[in-house]
Amino acid sequence: MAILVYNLPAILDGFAMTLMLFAVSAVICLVLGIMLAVMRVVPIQGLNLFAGFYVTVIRNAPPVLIFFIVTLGLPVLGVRLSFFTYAVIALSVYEASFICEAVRSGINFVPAGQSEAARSIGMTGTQMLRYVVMPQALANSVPAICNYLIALCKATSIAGTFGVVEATITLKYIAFENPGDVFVIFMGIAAGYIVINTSIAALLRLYEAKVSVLT
Amino acid sequence: MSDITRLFDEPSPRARRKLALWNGVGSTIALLIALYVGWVFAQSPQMRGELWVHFAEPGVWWTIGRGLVATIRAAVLCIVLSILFGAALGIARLSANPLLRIGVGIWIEFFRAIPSLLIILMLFLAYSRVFGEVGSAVEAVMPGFVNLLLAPGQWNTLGPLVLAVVVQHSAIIAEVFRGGILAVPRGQSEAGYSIGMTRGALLRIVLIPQAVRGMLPALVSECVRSLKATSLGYAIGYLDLLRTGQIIASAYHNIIPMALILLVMYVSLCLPLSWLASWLEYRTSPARAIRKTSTSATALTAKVSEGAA
Repeated sequence: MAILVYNLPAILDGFAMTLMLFAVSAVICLVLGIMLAVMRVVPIQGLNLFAGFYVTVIRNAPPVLIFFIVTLGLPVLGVRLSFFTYAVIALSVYEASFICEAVRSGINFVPAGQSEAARSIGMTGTQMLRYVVMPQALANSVPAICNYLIALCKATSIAGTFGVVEATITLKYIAFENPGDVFVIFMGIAAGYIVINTSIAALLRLYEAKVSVLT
Repeated sequence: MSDITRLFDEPSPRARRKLALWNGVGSTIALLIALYVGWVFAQSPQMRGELWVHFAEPGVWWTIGRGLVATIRAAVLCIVLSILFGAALGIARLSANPLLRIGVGIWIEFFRAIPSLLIILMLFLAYSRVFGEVGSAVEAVMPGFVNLLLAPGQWNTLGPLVLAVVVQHSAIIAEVFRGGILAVPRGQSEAGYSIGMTRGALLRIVLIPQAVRGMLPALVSECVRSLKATSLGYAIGYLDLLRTGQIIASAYHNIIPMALILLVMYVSLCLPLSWLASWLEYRTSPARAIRKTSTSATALTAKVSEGAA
């Protein structure tokens, strides 16, 4: 236990970075994912094809490979950013494809009568999506999005291998100095992740209760 | 396609012209962006032909092939072991013994909430030597071809990778399993008990065979996830496809060509499995069942009306 208390500042710094990575990429991948989902359902074939291709490729590529491409590939193409930015790009690109599929299945669960009703009172396609279909689709997809946000939080650990000092990689740094206490430090960091992921799940459950009352 | 017809009306001639305009404008913009990106790529030294020339050397492909074998080896081990452990955990979570049930529940929730990479690093940092020793002990006992199938001399990295992925994915599969068994109608287990089956026989003969059919899509997508998760071995230096690719890329400074090849290889490994999963899902989906029963119902009505006539 003493080793945990002694290294607490380092671990907390790591978790601060994990939370930053998570927060920034969660916002970006939600926006991207919803945009992609809309692109998959609007009657414009070019957008359907593009979004479908994106989702198919990214969902079938390992996240570590996407980190590899972004963090090691972009610099040689002349795009020089911080490791944090690379990590945010990789995480958002990866997780957006999953959010897209969650939202799209939410759209599929909106009863057909809703869009028919919207059309019958003369709404345009944009108005129908904006005011009728999407609010219900998003409410439907909150549980799935919750799972993907937890997956995103777990995926931030990969950033540690690509130059960002976040919670998981602090295990390695602390273990270098204290090779005998790896397991104790592991349990400490694991406890941190459990707190974060339980809070994400609890927050989204609250949000779900709120939106499901509205609809 | 079904989404489009459901969400939107068949477009009117005017709407069709508008859509065609949008398609045209969009494609032009996309083409311009693609040209610009292509131009940027062409300017960078990464797209010079000589960086691709290395991929004409058989030695490079030999190395990539070894990485591919290592990835598939890790994936197969992960998939088989995590399905076995997952099934065991899932059944244990349904056990009548509350202590076992709660203990397994805590185990599952713990491993579902933490990143695999954390477990991999912990096992590697603390126990990689143990894994290596166990590996050499096993290698000494096993005949040569088994050693070739397993990882010769790589147990110190393969062990932590596989164990971590198995611990994490078996926790997820356990939930799939439990859900699948609970989804079998109650009457089935009541019928089993009523003819005097024990709990084990009931699970083995009645519940699991029926549950597996419903779980199949989820299990296959779990295979895709295991395959993707093996690339986490990159962090501890397991010589899988990704790590081999990185080594080649740093030797020849051809990271972009290498990354593209890796992307194509990983996607073509995972995509067939993903398609299999969605096909299985479609096959077991209620929509198809309804369509099937309704067609057979139509056929039946046709027959009946024929008979009446």
